[in-house]
Amino acid sequence: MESFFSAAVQEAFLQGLCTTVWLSSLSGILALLLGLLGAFCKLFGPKWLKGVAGLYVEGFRNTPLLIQLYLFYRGLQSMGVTLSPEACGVLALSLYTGAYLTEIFRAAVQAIPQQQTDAALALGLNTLQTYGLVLLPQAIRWALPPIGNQLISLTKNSSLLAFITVSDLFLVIYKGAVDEFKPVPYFIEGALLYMALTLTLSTGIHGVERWLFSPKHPTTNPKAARLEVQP
Amino acid sequence: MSSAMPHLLLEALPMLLQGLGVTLGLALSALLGGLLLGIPLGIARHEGPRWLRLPVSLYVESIRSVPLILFLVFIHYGLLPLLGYRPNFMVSSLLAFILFEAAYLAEIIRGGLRAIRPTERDAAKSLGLSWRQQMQYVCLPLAVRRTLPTLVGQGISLLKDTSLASIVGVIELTRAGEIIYEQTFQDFEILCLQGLIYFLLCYGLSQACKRWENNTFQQENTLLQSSQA
Repeated sequence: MESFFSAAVQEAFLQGLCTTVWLSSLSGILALLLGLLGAFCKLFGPKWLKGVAGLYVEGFRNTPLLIQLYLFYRGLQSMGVTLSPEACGVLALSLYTGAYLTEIFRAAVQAIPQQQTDAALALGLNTLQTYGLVLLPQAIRWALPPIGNQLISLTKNSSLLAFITVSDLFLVIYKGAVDEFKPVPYFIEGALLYMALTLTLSTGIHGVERWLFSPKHPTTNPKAARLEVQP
Repeated sequence: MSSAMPHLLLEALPMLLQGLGVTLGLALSALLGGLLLGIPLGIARHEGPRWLRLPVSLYVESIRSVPLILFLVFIHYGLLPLLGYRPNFMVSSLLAFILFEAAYLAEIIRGGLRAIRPTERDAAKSLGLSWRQQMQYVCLPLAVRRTLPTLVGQGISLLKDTSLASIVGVIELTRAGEIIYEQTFQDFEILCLQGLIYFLLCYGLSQACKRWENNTFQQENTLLQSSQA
């Protein structure tokens, strides 16, 4: 099959794709950790910590990602702090997504009925067991679809890193389309690549969901769950 | 930080507020346009005939799986020039936002329509309402009400997303700030001020909507309880 793009352009596409995948995965992992930390602070922290977590969540959810990226990149630079564009991008992206994930995790834990906690305590489980064996397995099932959506958004949002000079997939598309005046082929190729990324992610998340709801999983199979708790 | 800072921020404010006006205008018209296009698309995807459902699904799913900025730049540099227009920044970004929002809103509306209970639909049918009347008086109002928090969230997302219009050259809030700090080099201060304006707008809006929703629902709940008693 004859390709429209020269070998050099294909190479650039591949490199951009790798950058996008690598930076998104890194930010995704950091965002998940931040989300867990934030939710933990909001649920169990002392009052001042809850306040800080709340400020973080509302602050990052209610301002555009582009402004945050500029603030971390140009803003800090003008204040004399210089970070690499990639570092700024990962920082802003994970803080932004982490704020959304904090709320998702918190809501998931709070959505579990009080009776579940009561039942676990009545069975003689301690707090750690109550959370580890009863509440969190249920929360993660409830939270998985919105977490998946956030990770997909994160991958799409990573395209904004191009505007703080990170040479990711979008920068390759943008440069090719605008500087070389060949918009349509570049856009189509770019759109297909992004679609492939988001499709892969959503398929993966569906797989995890199916596994969590499968009969083999302890939370859907009471016998398996009992076996785990008894020792 | 220089002693001229408060002076600078004061000087920057009128231009930022002008940008804010453009941001608000863009967001509001994109929301209206998106709803006008998104509601029919949502209905079509929910209960349209197969030949209609297929292309609508394709449209919605493909828009939802590419980044907004890619779509925006595609409309501005790709589609409109290809169709023979020499696009004005505002026109192309407005078009892109409307088409993009429509896909997301269609999906939300479809979710609302799916959540309508069969008994509610049956009640509408047994009253002898035509399909159009069922939609207009029963299904859509219920769907909108039940998805209101999501719709508000989408509106706020849109408000934040309009910052992307700065990239194709619309002088809205983000671009206005950029113009200022490109001349004054007070990047940090101006960006913080911009962030604060966005924050006040989005947070205020979400809180106001939450409050309004709570009030509306509370009234309805008390009505419901008194009618049951």
